[in-house]
Amino acid sequence: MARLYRAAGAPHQAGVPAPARSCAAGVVQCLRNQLFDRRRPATAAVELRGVYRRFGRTMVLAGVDLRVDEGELYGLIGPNGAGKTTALRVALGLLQADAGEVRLLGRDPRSAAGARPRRVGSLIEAPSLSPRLTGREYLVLIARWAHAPDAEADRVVGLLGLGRMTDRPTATYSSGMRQVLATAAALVGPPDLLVLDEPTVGLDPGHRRRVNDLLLDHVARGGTVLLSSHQLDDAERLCTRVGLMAAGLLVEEGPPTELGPAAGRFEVTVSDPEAALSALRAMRLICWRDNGKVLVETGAPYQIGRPDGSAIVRALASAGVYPSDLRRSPTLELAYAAVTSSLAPDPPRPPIDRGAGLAGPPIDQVAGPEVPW
Amino acid sequence: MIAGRSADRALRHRYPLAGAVGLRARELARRPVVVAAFSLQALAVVGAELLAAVSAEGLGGAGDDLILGGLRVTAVPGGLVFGVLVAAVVGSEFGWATERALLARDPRRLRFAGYQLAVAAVLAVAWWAVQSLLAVTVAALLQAGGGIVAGVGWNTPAHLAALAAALVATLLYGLLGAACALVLRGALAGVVALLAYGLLGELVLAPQWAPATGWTIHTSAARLTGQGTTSLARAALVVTLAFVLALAGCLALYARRQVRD
Repeated sequence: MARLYRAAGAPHQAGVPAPARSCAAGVVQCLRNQLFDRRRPATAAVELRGVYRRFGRTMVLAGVDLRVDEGELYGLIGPNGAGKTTALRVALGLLQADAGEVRLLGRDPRSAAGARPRRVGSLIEAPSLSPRLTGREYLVLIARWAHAPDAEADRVVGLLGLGRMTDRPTATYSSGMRQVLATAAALVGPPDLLVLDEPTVGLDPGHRRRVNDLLLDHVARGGTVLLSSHQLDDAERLCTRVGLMAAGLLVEEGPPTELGPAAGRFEVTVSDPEAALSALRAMRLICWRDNGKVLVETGAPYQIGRPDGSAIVRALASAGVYPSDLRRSPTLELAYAAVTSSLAPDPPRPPIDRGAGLAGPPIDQVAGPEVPW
Repeated sequence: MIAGRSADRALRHRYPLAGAVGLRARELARRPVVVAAFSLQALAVVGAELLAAVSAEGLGGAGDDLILGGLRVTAVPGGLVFGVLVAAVVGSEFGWATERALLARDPRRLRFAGYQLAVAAVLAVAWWAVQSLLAVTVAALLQAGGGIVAGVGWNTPAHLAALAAALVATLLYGLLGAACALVLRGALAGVVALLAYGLLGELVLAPQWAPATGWTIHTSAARLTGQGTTSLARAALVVTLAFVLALAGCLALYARRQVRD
């Protein structure tokens, strides 16, 4: 009952005067919320169950199970040819699955009911623009096609800061500007669900940041985003969950910080790497040198006693070595590398200068070190 | 559902699809290929009327009636030119992948096909209006003011019939062009298919086989303008059948479209 009452909005928050209503009224309100609240268990915005899709003799999707809940920012990552774009096309109803079940906002995307103008904005592969329309006219065309007000064009122009650029025919745009306009077109509606295939490809840093901020804002306002990207740092920073696709399958899924067999590593920049390596090894940490930096293995996220940044700094300081920079390597990148290398028979690995006699194991062969911290 | 969404229906375009067609028509008016096709056909009509007036040999088997001759040129060779133009502009949607953006919003294939056919219809009416007006005006000027020929004046039933036949031929060839582009998903493929049928099939191969000559679209459209010897009923039947088959075939095939490119 206490939990229910708190859920109803208990008047005990600091600095907030208690409303003039009885505890019983609060409980009644709470029960009403529990019974009728629409924010109850998340429903799937996109759901693919056992989806197969073949192009000729090539099996592009080999039984994909993917569920994106409403309010999520879900990232699909994976190597080229993994089936990401095909999965998005199937989800949108552009392609029909050979087998399996597809639901988009609760409906079959290719049925008559599911196919009517819907609150779905998308950007699939290369931007699709009519060269003789101005940017604004193109946005108005999308708005009319989606049964949205023409004023939506002005709204998204303002959102992305496109300004007077949209008065020119799209034929005069650079590839980056076309990408921005296509992203703006996806935002027309506004849609409940955004399905974006590499939306930040070719964007300058300013527009890339702005697009990323818009995605976060879209989710904060209750929208859903399904995103395919090769920008692992973006995916790691933005996404609530990430799915790793390879060979037509969703091989791993989860929050970006928990994905993959390796949780990550620290990159330490020091003036004397050799001294740093000695100090860290003395603390039984697995570490090696890479391009002038010292890499420290951190082990799996569930491992007890895994080192954190402060422990590394303490270890170095005890040896009189003070790092000028210490940052955590993206774990998603490691998970990605682990999955893609496990699929390739002979994975090409970048040469690593580990220093004479200080070689550490390849990251995908490291079983979480047991460090007594 | 996103919080704060303005769902004010009053702000929406009253007829969204018609609004989209209007925007697309505006875009077509800016395309060089459209302007070039309109100009070429206009030059052909004017040139044919001038030559007919100077040579006094008549145009399109209409004798001294340059207005009728001009309308016949607009209907039959002009219809095929228009079909090629429509195949090019509808097919270009696939090249630019605007189809993908629109179908992702609303994947009803028939709605998209209907949108393209509506655009083709708007273009057809514009084509017919411009070319017919030009043919009639130039012919009337040549007959009345130039003194080159003493032609027949306007307001005869034959002219009205030719005007209607020109519209029918333009719509039919436009539909064929759009159908070719929609089914073959490309401008080049659509143009080649229409030319293969319209030029090679109807104008080269069909005359080689006597029973086929009276059953071609070209012969039937020409008959509707008053040319040829086949029966009017057969011409009407062929045109109607071609219209229905092209429409049904293109919609049936496009309804199963898989957008993989």
